[in-house]
Amino acid sequence: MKQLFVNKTGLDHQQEWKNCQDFGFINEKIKCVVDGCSEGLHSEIGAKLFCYLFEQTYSVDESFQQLTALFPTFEAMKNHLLFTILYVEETEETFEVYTAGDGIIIKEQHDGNIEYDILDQNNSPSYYAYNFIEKNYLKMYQEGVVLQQISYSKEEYLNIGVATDGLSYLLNSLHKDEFERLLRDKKYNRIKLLINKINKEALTSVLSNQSYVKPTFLKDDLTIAF
Amino acid sequence: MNEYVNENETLGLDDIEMENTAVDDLDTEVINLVFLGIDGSGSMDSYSNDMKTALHDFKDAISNSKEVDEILVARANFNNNSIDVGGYKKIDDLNTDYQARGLTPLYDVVTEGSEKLLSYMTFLKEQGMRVKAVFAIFSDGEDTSSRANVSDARKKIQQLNNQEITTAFISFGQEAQTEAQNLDFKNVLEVGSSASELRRAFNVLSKSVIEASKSAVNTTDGDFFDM
Repeated sequence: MKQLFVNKTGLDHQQEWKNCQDFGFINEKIKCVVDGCSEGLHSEIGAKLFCYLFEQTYSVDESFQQLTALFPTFEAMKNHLLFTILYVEETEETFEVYTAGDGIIIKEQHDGNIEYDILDQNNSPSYYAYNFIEKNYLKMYQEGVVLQQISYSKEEYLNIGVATDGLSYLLNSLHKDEFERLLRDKKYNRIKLLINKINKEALTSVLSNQSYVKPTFLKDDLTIAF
Repeated sequence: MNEYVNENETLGLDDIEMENTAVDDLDTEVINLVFLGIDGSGSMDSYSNDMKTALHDFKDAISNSKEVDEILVARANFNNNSIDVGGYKKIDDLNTDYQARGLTPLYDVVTEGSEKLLSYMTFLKEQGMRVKAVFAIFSDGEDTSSRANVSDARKKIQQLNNQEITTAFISFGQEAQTEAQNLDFKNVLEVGSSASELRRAFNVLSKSVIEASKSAVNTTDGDFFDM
């Protein structure tokens, strides 16, 4: 099946000349997205390194062993290793989704209908790196973070993908239907252009002061692996 | 009843995408349009083979650059009493053939070329693309056969300048330099009338196009040819 991968810097980070803190990868085995914590100074570095290691090892634990060797102190972990993880593996009969932190699961039914499971953790994502941080630094998740597993049957779903929470802006916009059409057609560049268009229209609307409804900006970084 | 179905309508392509490159054939959000108007008047006849080599080298240089996927080139030929302005295509499609004969309808190619550039540029921006553009002319002499006049052509170049499009003129010999200045091109490169200078001109042009593609904004203040 043809795959789609989109990685796009959000408007906020573009305007602040900051790097995209999302990353991910897609191959025949795994679709993976990660979303770096905006409070970490260089979350994108840990997020990218994790993807690089995970694509080779296919083991989250093994990847983190190497990452924590590079960033062993609390400060280093806080600034580099706080990122959400969301990935899909396929078996013969199911799509297995694994998650640590928030994000969005995209479910395409056999008739083309698309649905979403929103993984919301009230802005307190369960970062996997918490397993490697001393407990006295943590207010939540002191018992540790385990990858949650969710199973989707291939009888019910044609395809399962994952996205970072930046997708919620698009799903709440007037362009949701257009997005889903592009998603089904796997037109990744068109999705990026759609986001540019939405932001440009919103900006024009604000500048010309002609809008009667609050314009929608797609502010957050976005990564989709579908 | 006529049951003929236009294949392009079936594909949902606009005319402008048919003439140029369809958005779905682009893999990037950022695109650099390069208009390359080439003088094919009779005075260039003795340089025909050198021009083919220069165009071939130009194509190679762009093809081998990291920016190749972000560059679309439209070649326009002007000679005799006609002009032929092609669409914006990937560099692999650039025709490097060359023939020289007849007169120099320079103002006509500036007028039609700038209109087509602005039209495609507007279309791409409406699709959400970020677009930069270079409008480049190579010529060895003054206009001799246009229907448009110098004032029409100058207004078009000024329109491009106002829209932050890089306007560049390569004067092959001294004769065309005055024309470039009268038309208000912001970047003028004068090279001597020889085969080696012709190849140098296209070498500088390809490097300038690649450098301009790397920058975040268009070069509009006269430093396009600064290497």
